[in-house]
Amino acid sequence: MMILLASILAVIMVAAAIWVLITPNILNAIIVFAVVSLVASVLFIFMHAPDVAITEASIGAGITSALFILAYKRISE
Amino acid sequence: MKKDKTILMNILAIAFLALLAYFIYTVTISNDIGINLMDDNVVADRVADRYLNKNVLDENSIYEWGGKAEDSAANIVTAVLADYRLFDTALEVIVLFVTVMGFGLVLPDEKRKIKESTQLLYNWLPILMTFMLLVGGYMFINGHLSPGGGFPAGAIISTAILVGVLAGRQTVSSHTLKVIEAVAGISIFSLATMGFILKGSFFVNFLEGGNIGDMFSAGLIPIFYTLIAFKVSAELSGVYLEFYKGGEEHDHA
Amino acid sequence: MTMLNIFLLSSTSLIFIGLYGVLTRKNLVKILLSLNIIETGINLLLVAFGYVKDGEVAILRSSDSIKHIANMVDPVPQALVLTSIVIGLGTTAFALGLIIRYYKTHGTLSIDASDEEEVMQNE
Repeated sequence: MMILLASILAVIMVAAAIWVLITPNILNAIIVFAVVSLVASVLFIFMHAPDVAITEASIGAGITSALFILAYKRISE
Repeated sequence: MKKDKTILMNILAIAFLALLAYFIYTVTISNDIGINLMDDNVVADRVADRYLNKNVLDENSIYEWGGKAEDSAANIVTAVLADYRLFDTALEVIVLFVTVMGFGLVLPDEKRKIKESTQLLYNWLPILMTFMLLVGGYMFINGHLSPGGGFPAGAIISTAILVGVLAGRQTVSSHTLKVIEAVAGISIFSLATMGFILKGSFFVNFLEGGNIGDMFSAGLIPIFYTLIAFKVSAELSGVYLEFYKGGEEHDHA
Repeated sequence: MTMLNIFLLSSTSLIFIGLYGVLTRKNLVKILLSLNIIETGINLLLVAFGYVKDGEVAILRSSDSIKHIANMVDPVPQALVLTSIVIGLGTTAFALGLIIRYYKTHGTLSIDASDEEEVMQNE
């Protein structure tokens, strides 16, 4: 059961990573990259690493995408 | 012509990377010549065994629940990060400081004004910020007992300031942030020097005390985590404020 | 197929998807996103090295968790990955500053822009 859940999450993560590369819209790519980081943080919990999961969810998914979006807004105006 | 060349390059890149990936994956799982990951990992054969049993400094140290041990942090990742390998962590905070300083140096000097957002977000901001600061504070105070710690706590506190900027208020000035960062950085290294004076080596945990699982335990680890959380949050908030003008000209500052 | 297989497969495929993006994309923001994907994959791979089958979290939560110390996962890769995530954020911020600077001088985000300028200067 856990293996099924983990493999579904892994497939979602890899598909989102491919989507980041092929989408032409940069804002879409940034938001889908946040999905990659969030799913990775769930996989960290499957690996029994809750410290890393909290850090990845707050820094990798939260602040990195916020910085990307701030920089993209600065560029696009 | 150019399009054909791009497609050819893409196919070549995919083929090359697929070959590389195949080799790396087979080495990872092979049982003969690889790194034997598919056997059961035996942590007792690794260096982590000493960290888990807390007998790094004293070979005969054995601990019990509610008793004392080498450093009495219940979260062993925290014990590795903020006690045994604190040199790594302290120098890493310096690396973060240098990159953030370089960011401010490289960025072109045309800032935007902080625009006022909707009335709803503007009025509810104090309540939102209070909750975010509470979560961040809980995380670094409780870092030696539960998952969390200084880095995610600093990230969450800086996110509270980012929400403030998005709602149209600058809650702290960048001068205050620089003072907080400098005080936290100096305190980390003066505590390290105090350890050198008292016990003879840098970053030694000279405040040992408390039992495993207590709130007030683990000696210097909560103090270091508090300092690290303040330093990281000040640095990250400085990055957000780099994008915007200072609040002096603004009405709601 | 065990849990470890899934972790190794997904992390190595993330690393190579990111490498493919770095090699073939032309937009600087896309290249930086690909570098971040590589970073996520490497963090997953490092933590997977410390994974133990039917292991436990390396936190002492109650009095009987002390008996399970031999069954805990490896805490050292987790501590290293924690620092690596934070440093990754710092380098990403610095690279974003460089990208904003590039856009200001060249007026575009494509990596071909600097090539074309070199050609024009040589002619």
